[in-house]
Amino acid sequence: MLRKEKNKSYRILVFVIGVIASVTVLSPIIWIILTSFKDVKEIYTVPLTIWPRKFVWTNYLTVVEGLPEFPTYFFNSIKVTIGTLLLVLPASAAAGYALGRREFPGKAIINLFIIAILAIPFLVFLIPLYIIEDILNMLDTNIGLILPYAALNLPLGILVMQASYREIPSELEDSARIDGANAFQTWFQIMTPLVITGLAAVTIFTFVAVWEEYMFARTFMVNTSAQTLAVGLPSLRVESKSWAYGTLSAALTLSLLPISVVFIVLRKYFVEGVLRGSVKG
Amino acid sequence: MVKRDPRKRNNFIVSWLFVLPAVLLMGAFLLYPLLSALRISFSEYNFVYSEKPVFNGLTNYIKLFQDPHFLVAFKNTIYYTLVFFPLFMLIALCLALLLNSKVKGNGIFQTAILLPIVVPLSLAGIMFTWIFSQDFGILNHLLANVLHLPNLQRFWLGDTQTAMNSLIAVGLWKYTGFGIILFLSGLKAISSDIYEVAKVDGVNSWQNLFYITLPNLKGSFSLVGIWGIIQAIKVYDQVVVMTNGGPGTSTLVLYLYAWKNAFSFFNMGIGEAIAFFTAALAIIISVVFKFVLKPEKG
Amino acid sequence: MSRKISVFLIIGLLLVMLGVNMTSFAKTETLKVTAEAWYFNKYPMEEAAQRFQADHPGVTFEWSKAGDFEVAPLMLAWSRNRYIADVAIVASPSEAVAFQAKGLLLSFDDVLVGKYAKDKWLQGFLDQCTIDGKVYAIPSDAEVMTLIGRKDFAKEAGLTDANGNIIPAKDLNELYSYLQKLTVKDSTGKTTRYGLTVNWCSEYMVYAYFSGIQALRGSIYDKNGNLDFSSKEALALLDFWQKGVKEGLISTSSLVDHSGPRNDMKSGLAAILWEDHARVIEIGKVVGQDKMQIVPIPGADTNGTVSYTMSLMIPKNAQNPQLAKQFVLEQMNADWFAHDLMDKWGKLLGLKANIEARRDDPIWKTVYSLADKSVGLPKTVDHAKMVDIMTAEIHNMLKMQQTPEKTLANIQKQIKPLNLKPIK
Repeated sequence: MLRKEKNKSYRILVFVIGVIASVTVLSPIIWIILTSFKDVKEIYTVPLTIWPRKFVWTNYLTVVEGLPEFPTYFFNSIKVTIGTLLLVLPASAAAGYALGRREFPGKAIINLFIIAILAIPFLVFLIPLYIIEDILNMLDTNIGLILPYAALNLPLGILVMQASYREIPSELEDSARIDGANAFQTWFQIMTPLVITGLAAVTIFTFVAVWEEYMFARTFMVNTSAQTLAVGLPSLRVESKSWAYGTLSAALTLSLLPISVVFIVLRKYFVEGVLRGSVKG
Repeated sequence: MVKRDPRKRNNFIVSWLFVLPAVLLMGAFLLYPLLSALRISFSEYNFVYSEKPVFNGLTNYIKLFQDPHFLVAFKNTIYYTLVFFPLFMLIALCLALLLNSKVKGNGIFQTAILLPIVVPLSLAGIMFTWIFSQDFGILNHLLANVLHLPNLQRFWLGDTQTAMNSLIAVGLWKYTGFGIILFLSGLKAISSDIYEVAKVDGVNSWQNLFYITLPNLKGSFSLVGIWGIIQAIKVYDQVVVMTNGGPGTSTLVLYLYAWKNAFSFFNMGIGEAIAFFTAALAIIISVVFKFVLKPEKG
Repeated sequence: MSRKISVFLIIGLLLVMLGVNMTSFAKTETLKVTAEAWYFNKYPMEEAAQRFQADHPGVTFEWSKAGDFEVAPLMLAWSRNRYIADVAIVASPSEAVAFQAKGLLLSFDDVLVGKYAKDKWLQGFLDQCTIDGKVYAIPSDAEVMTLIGRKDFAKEAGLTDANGNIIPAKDLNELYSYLQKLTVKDSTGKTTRYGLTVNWCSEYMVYAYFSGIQALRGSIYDKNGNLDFSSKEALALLDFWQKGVKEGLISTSSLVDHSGPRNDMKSGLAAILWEDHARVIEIGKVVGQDKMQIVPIPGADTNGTVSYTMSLMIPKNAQNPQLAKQFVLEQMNADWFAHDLMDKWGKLLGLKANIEARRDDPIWKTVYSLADKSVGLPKTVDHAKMVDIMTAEIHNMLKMQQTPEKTLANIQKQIKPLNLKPIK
């Protein structure tokens, strides 16, 4: 009896801590959302009000009507993310299969290179990649972000896919070969459907990395027409936009909303993806 | 060397066809840049004025250690790491233990606490700039008017003493979720049989934690630890957005100083030298850390 | 099989989608104008384009907006001889030097005739755009560094004359006593209104510092012809700043936020602003134009101050350079364009004729006389590095990490290896 009582109060304690932790983590976002509904005068009035005195939509109207860059940033983020995934997924699946299940000369060198690259901070690649893109005229284009992003995320993707393919029992592959399937068919039709979870993990951690990438995007994308959300929004703060945290809050809310919904719906996949993506030397 | 056996040759060609797309991409955008980066770091190369890099040996690296701002950036990065790392581990572990207990609302807690994972750090930077604002920021308002502790009010991003700590707070907000996920998977891997046995022996929750859970998490500690340290050394996004290294040099970090040298002063050689220095630092620290916390297999 | 085909189709489609962005078709009659994004919000570019099209049918315009923080990479692209624009408005003239040296700029000399002849421009501004006797840039957004005061606050503090105008302080000591009178503190000793707010944010740090030096001693150079970091006036200026911050008389909001000083003024948190003159209009729109007054920095009425200008430049590889020059002169220096900017944002252009029309306005009268006596900062190769060093060191001083003496010594030590020779 006593034990049960104790258990119950323990559960309540854990629950309360959970609520406090959740609210603390969410509070910055909540504050931005509340700010986005305030009148500009109210935002800059001391003492502050936490709950808006009156909910207004003007900040959102300013973003929609007066900020043509905003949708551009948004679609650039989407285009760059999808473009990167379209390169990383097939390339890492193919390479992961060969490295995980086949023996061939050169395999050891490729594996060594992948491990070595994972230990090097991306900063090292920034300057030479800038010079390459300058020569190839890829600065200020979506492809100018997609190619480096794909390359930088590929080593990890290959590593994860390699492990995924290795888990498949070799009988399956053997029987496919006996049935007369060629290597490509074996890979694409027999093996790959069995590593969907691996592909999902690669998708998630590549997505998380690309969606928020700032340093490369900031350096390579100077023109607002090519900038992504992570780079574009911070630059809305200055010069003509001073005195305008209302607009900024509305823009922030609008850019965080879709991604949050995706996260809430697919949380389990995100957890799995992040987990697999962090397991490296 | 040369493969005469047609089957072997066939295997060779097919295998290389599979890895070809990845090898091409990595060759063009990782291997070649890496070599070229190495060359630049040993060269005098002003991107606007020089025609091409001119080899100057170790000059860039020697110059670095005579540059007071570089030394400050190095010191600040170490400070960031030393403060970020223990807090990151502690908070991530506590919240992972919390989320591991099966309580009502666990799913909602997990969603809320892990949400910052998908918030770009630069956007978090804008949010927190506003929250830390001296006059119109919610933090100072709460301290003064709700908690009635006006003495704790600060010019968070404008004071040398608080600016870096504020940036660390943003880093923690963003990255703790990653640590939680890693710890959670470690916790899930601990067999529930051990706890069952302990229960029979009448072991209490604290003993459970210290004698069963934590020792069994050693592998996770090494993993999360290295991950956290690397994130700390790489700190850049929120620094640019929130303080850009200021006030003074109080939040100047290695990544930012490398960027400034390369893309504001156009001195690519110095920028690349800082990049390699940072890379060496990251690699050495993670190797040492791995060595110290030798995870036992299992 | 069909699944495979559809996958390839989708991939192909997406690649095409991405590819479209990469190719830009050059039309012979298109003018590409590149500037930081805010420029297009403040300057009436659409109207200028329409008016230009009325005179030159068939010309189309393309606006290319650079991110507000990201000018350096854009300059980099330009320096690599990439086609970035027909008209580029990204740089201060000091940055033009680099481009001129590499032969990346076209001179305006051939079109500076008649009503655009060189003597029709404000000399101080045009000088800044001149390299080796040739004009390579046209001023756009020229601004002079000055103090901007709140008359109502000054009146409360007894610092105004019979007409309610602020009496300019004669020297730093008097200005300091002004600040003591203007500052308001609450019972806990916390400042609720600062006497002064200074923009110390990167590039502005340099303008603020040298405007003080110029006003105090009439030159920004020491006796060896180098930028002055050693005179007793330099020490006095830094001392004034540090003491003011320490005593809670000067706001340090600019240490984190480029817009901090403006916002201080707009919210009544500060009584005097040390920044460029243009803010007087922007702040006046919030607090009331009748409360604003331009007050020279002590000494500036005789010694002058520092001015700077963004500039319009024509890159060598512009596709329609002559048309671009015409657009710059005919529309972007037209009376209507200049007055729109002056009235809305307080920004000055270079033609004297534009300003004549506003000469009776006390604000513009003061600005005009200050502009006449203003000097520009020298054009140097390592300018950006100098800005960075000065900002970091003076910020450290304002944060009480070091004395003014030590600050000047540190700056001198670090700029020694830099190439700061004025290029003329």
